[in-house]
Amino acid sequence: MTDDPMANPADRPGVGKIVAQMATPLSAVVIALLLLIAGLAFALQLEQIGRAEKLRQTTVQAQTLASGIAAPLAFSDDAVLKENLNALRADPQIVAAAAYDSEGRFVAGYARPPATFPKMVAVKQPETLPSALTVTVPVMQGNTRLGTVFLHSTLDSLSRRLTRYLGIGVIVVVASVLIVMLAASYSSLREAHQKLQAEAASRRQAEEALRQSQKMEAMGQLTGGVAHDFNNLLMVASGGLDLMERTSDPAKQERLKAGIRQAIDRGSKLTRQLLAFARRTPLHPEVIDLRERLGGMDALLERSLGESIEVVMHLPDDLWRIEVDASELEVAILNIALNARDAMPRGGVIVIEATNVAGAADVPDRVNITVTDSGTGIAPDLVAKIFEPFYTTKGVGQGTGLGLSQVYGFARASGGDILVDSIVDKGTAITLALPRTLLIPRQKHGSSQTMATFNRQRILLVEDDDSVAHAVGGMLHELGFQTERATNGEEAWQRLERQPDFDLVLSDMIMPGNVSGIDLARKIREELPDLSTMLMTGYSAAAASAAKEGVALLSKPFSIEDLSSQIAATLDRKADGERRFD
Amino acid sequence: MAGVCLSLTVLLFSQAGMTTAPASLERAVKASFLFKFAPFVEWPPAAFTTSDRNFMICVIGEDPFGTVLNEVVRGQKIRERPVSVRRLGPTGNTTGCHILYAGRSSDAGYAPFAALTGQPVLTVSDHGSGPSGAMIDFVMQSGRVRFQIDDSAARANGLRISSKLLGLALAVNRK
Repeated sequence: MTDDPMANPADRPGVGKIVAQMATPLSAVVIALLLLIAGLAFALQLEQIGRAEKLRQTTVQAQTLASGIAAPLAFSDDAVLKENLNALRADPQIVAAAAYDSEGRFVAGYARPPATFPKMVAVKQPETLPSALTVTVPVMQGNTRLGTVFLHSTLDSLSRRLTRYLGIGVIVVVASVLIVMLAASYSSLREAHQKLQAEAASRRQAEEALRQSQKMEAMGQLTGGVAHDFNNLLMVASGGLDLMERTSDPAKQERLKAGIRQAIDRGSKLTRQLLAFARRTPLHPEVIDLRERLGGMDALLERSLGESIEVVMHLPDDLWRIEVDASELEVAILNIALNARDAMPRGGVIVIEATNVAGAADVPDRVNITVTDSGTGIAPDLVAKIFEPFYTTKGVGQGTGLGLSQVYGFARASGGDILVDSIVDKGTAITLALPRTLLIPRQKHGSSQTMATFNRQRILLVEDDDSVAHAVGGMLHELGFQTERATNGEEAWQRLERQPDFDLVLSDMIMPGNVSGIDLARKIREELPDLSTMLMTGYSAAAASAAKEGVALLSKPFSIEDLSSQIAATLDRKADGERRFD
Repeated sequence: MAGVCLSLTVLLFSQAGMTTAPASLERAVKASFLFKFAPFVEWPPAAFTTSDRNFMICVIGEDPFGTVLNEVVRGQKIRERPVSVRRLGPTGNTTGCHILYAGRSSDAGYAPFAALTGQPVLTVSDHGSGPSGAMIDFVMQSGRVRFQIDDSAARANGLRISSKLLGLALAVNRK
């Protein structure tokens, strides 16, 4: 029976835990046994005391008798002797009493069968038998011994003594039973508690899985629109390049270049949003500026909702900040918008509006994000159902019914609420009410647009893909760096071992061979701590591990400005670090 | 304790018949009693100042006991003193005696107790046949040996007789 430490973070490893570990049925039985033994010992002790008391009492009786019969014994007055002896018959426990003369010969006495008295007697130590005791005392007058008195007394019978201890016994047994019962109920409680915790854990896993599938559902919706859009962007780029080759007019070339650049920018923005979407992460709340976040979703919404839908955003300047998982918020907004679109098969306008709502005494300040459509609306009896997982009005293959359940889960997990206002055939307004935060958003690195110039610094570029290597090498060259290229991690490391005469190693993360970019960065940090490293990747999962390692990272695709500012930041940080730690 | 009137059983030989105890048996019982009176009587300290370390039982007049009395006291001790028996002549000196038994005597001037007034000596005699004036007199009743006690005489001589013994006496003379 061990406690899952994660499940009981509040448990202090102190007395409570020790008690909890001790309170097993086994230890309860042990305690009960100890109690029984103690009770038994107590009874035995009482028995001993009772015996000693009885012995003392009988001895006193014998001495009294001896004193009383001194004269009749000495002067052979049988009648008086018998009278004295018979007085003891009143005590039912004295089963035999006898007087003996100075020679030890029997003079008078009585015995209740089966008890007997000896025919001859000598003064000796009292004898204690299991249920009886015999006492002999001398009859003395002055210093002269006139004879001996013998008494045989029974102790209380076993049943009588047992009756006396019955009370103690009952108490001990009841206490023992109570202890065992308490321990049993405690342990069953613990078991139930553990079961509950296991259930809660599996539930958390299920919820996690559900959230992921909700995301994938949204992804599915997204992919259709995005793929189509990507083709368009690629069309613009390839067409532009074709046209550039055929023209020598600088003005026209400039226009075509601008078009291509724009298409590429939109494409990279889309892929970045897709990757952020697909990232499998637990809820990770951060303080965000809603205006900036929602404003940045325009391209995503436009692409996923299709051309028949127009998105209008009303985002005031003075919106309060909220603390939520930004990517979940985006998924939620997208899910609501997708439902709004589906409610308007003939197209229409979706209004996304955010307002501050001041709280009352026990209601905190909130920011309401309302998504309004002019679609078919939801029947009142279905309003409560739309957030249930797998509830859908759509046909097979068109929706999983997970979209709005994600919205609901997100709202609850963020400490917020969700409100539905719908009129059939008029439209629906779904409002996410999220609590205001007074925290300040994490400061982003201001990316300076001014390109730094680098004074002939040397960079080792590690990249397996020739075309990427060519493009990045060109950019670096343009920025004033001297570059050398290695095609994989091993080669780069061999080069560095030969002579680490570089200011920076810029490496791809995923490369063929045994040494990945992250391995290379780790090795450099351990063995060549003076050398800066920077990684680049287009793969988001790899990016997360780089962030964990604390290595500077550049996400592909990047512009020459991005490259310049990141390299500057990395080299600066190195210089700072050296100043700080030297 | 018992009343004043009590019968005494001839204990040592109780099977010997109650009504007609032979004379020898009577003598043996009396000898035994004579010795056993001692633990129940308290002598003043002055009674033991003589140089003789023994507890002395004296017999004056006709001695009915013979060797029986000597047998009874052999090896016995009273107040840590060995018990001895002394037989006195008709005008014997009673100095050193603690118990004086006076038997019968045909002597005309026989008055063994006269000289003992004020002396701490327990005097014993036979009622009727012996001289009068003893503190304890043996009495035969229903063939058993019993006794009567003159407690005031004992007190006058500085002896204290235990109430246990008084309780067994046929009669107690108290003044």
